[in-house]
Amino acid sequence: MSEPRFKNRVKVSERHGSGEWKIERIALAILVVLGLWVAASAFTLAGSGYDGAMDWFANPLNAVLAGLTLVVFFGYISIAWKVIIEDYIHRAGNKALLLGLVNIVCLLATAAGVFFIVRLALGSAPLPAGLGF
Amino acid sequence: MVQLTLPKGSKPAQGKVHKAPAGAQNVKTYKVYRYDPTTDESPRWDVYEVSADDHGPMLLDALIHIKNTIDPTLAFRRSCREGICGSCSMTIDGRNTLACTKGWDECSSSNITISPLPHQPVVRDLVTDLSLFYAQYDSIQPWLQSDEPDPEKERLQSPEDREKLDGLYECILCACCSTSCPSYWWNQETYLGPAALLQSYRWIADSRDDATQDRLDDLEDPFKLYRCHTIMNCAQVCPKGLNPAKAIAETKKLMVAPSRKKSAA
Repeated sequence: MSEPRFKNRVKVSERHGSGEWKIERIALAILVVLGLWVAASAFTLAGSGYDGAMDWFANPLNAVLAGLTLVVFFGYISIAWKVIIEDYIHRAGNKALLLGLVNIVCLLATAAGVFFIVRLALGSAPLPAGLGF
Repeated sequence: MVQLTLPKGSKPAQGKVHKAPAGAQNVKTYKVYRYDPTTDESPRWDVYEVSADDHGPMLLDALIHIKNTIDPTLAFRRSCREGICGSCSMTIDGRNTLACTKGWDECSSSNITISPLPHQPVVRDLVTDLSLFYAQYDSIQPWLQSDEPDPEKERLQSPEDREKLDGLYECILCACCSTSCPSYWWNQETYLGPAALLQSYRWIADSRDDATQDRLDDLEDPFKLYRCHTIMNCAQVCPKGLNPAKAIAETKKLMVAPSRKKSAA
C-alpha cells in the first residue's frame, strides 16, 4: 500500500479505480440474479428434509451455482468492506491490518463453503468422519 | 481514525442572549455559532431576538441587520445578495444553503439556527476556510482545452451540444454540496467532492474541449472520484438545483466506456 502523492494539496491520480468499480457493479448484478435463484431454491427445498437437500446438492448445476454464489458473495463482501475501511480508517497500519483480516476471513469462509458444497455434491456428509457432532 | 466526538474545548457553549426590545412584533430568534480561533475561548451559541419587521425577507437581511444594529463583531461572508456569488453559504436549520436566497419565513419555526459550513476550518464565526475546496477546483483545470487553433470569433457549438452543459455550468462554487457530503467530511484530503467533480464533468461534457481523456485520467483514482457513494446530499442541498451526483455517475460511466483511451501514468 503506497502513500498517496499530493500536488498543491490535491491527491495525484493513481490511474486506477475504474476496474474495481466495474468489478463491484458486475458482482452485484450477478448476485441479484443468483440471489433470486437462492430464494427460489430455498422455497422449493422447504420441507423436503435432509434427503431432499442432499438430492438437491447432488445435482451438478445446483452445486456449481451454490459454489458460484458463495464465491461472488464473499468477493463482493470483501470489496464492500475494503471501501468501508478505506472510508473510515485513516491510520495506515490499522487500515492494512483490517484489510488483511477481511480478506483472510472472506477467503476462509469461501474455502469452507465450497468444501462443504463439494462434499454434499459428492453425496458425503457435510463434515468428514470424526469432525461431526 | 474517525472522531466521533468533538475535541475538548470545541463544544459550543451557551453564549450571549440579545433580547428584542419590549413591544417588538414578529420576533424571530436566531441562534448563531460564534468562534474566534485566535483566542482561547471555546465556540459558543449567541442568541439574537430580532423583529422580522425591521429587515428584508431573507436570512442574509437578518444577519446584516444583526451586524449593523446589534452586534458588529459577527462575521460572515456576503456579496451579491441574489444567489450568484455563493459567498453567504452556511448551515441554516441544519441544512447548507445560501443565506441570501433563504427567506426567514421558509424556516420551520421562529427559532432559527445558523452555523458555518460543516467540517471546514472556521476562520471566524460563519466564515470558513475554503482554500482546500478551491485547490480541488483548480486541480480539475476548469478551462477550455482545445487542440484546434484559436478561431477569429467564438468556438461554435451545436444547440444539442450546448444543452448538455445545462445543469452543469450554473454551479456558483458555494461549497454547499461538498460540505454536506459525509464522504467529503471523512476524506476531503483525498476525495475531490461533488462541486469539483461536477465542474470537471462540465468540461468533460463540453463538445469544444479536447482534453477529455486527460481529464478522465486525472480523475481515475479510488479516492478522488470513487469516494462518491451516491448519498445524494449534494443534490438535496444545492441552492441552484443542480445534481452533482448525476454528473459524478456520468463520469464513472465514461471511465469504463469502450471509447476510453487510458494513458500510461
